Amino acid sequence: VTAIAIATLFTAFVADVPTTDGAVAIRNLDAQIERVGDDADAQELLLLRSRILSDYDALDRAVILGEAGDDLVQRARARAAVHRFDEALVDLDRAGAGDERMASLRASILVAVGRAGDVIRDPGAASRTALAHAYAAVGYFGRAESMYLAALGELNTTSPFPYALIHFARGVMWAERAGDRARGEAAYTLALAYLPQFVLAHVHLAELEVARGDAGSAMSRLKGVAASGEPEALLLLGELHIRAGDVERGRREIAEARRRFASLLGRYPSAFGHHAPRFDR
Amino acid sequence: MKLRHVFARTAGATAVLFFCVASPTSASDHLDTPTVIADPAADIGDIYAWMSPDGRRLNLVMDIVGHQFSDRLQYVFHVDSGPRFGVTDATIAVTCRFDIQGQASCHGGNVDPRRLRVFAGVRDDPFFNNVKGTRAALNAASAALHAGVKTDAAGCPAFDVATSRTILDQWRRTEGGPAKNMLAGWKTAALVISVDLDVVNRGGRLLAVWGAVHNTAGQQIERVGRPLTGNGLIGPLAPGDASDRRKEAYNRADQRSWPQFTPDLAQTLALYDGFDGTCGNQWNQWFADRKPEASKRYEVLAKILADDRLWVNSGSASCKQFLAVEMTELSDPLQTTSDSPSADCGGRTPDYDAVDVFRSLLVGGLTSGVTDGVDEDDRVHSTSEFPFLAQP
Repeated sequence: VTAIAIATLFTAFVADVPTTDGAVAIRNLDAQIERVGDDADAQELLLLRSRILSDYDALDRAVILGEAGDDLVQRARARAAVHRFDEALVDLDRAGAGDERMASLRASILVAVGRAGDVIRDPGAASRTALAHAYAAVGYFGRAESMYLAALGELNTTSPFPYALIHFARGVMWAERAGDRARGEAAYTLALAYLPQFVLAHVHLAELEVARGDAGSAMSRLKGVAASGEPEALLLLGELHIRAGDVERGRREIAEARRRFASLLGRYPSAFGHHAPRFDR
Repeated sequence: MKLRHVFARTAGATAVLFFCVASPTSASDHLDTPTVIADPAADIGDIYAWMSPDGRRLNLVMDIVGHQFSDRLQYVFHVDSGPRFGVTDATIAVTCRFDIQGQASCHGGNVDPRRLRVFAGVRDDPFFNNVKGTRAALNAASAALHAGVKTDAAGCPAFDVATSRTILDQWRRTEGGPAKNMLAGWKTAALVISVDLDVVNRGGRLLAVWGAVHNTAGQQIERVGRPLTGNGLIGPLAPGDASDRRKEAYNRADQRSWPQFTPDLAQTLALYDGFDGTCGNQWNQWFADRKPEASKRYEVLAKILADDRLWVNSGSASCKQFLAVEMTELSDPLQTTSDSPSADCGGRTPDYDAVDVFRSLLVGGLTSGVTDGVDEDDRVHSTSEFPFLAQP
């Protein structure tokens, strides 16, 4: 209760976020994507779009761009995005030493394959955020939180994207690794204060709302992002509709979620395979 | 309901927080620092300022990399005025804010809003530049320097004839072929203001214009006066992070501290001066000690350019020549204390080939002769019909 109260206060504090409105930022992101076309420079923009809007067409384009060129770092980034981590690491090893962005990419991959300890022992030029992921992965939540907050403090941009992404990462850490749902909810709420269009943040927050018995709020939240086609959102919304007695609608949503998930699983088995049991129920 | 374990899926989500979309080198001011690259709404592409054909209004344009202005930023035109070049003792700031629909609200202190005509919306980006050719030219120069080309006491490289030819040839081509305008087809969110002259010329007929973006804390995070100053003259051959740090400082500097960037600019002016194989024939020739060993050959011009404002002679309604006010000042040392206006308004219209003029002056001291192979935009803009920039 205390944590939720603190979170509420904190959320009120940042209600007037000092960053560009999310809708404006997304419009400008789309303008950049349109401008660069199929140039390799589009890859990071497309990956960003896919992350915040669950736009899997953008992910497809980013992967194609990464595989089409001869830039090993871009290919590694594309492969990491769809969880082909071993191949991504091979690409990075072949690319040799790089800058902070490359070190951070490597660190994130190592964390994802269970080698967070390696990152902590030898962080190299990895960013604070990447190091925070590593600490979070091995259960040093306090240290990870400090790193995340330091990373937030160092941000000097009016873009809402990095703030939203870091708060989202904090939410994942607290809610899904540390088991502190209240702090997780507060972090997701902050992510959404910066970027109300952030689909996965809504999904994760809805799960927490359901867990504490506020299905109504979760349903309202999920309806707002269902148009994205995110299978996780459709699946949870369908389950909630069935639970609320709207069985026909719920079944339709679950069927659509499964159809979309199957499509993603077929394209990116490494990235989505571990979610399959949830969609097979 | 059991929470999913999705940490692995999202671990990489924050790995890439910043991104860049193109080499910024020698885009006008587009994509100049990580701060503004991350938010295209904060990234000024260009500032234009020129006199209306009837000489009664000052026309101002600020365009940005994004397609919509931010609801959380302030966009400011500073118009200083004074009796002679380099000396301004009056100023007015026209500040614009936007709502999330993109509607502008502009004010200039106590100025009657009816004296400001405002347009804000998506237009064609009028800047044109062979960015890839420029990058190739700078790469050729960098390679020669790494191979051991000597520099003189002022820092000007002694490129041999073959290297000089390669640099200038690369500059007017794109990937070995005909020059291409990298900004062809680019759209921009443009803020266009036409203001009555007597609102902005209280200090004198010479106007000095620059634009800035401020965040919600009131901090300046971006500024632009002349094209190609930040991107073109602040560490173009420096490692990316070093150049970024310096350009961040440049963007955030308040007006009184602008002179601190004089050494940065002088260093790059020396580089440009050597591109034609001759050191000491740059635009600053009247002021410099022209002896090859003169160690401070670039200081005077660097100081002038570090005062990064677009100069407009409001006494002239004919606007044909980029940097006309500065050229008048530099053409004859005896005029340094004169208030004689040039015959041209100078400033910058959307039609100027600012890239070729600027580089020709920096390389050979003339207004032409060095070209990037792109002489005009792909769209036709107006200097007389508000809002001036072509429809996208």
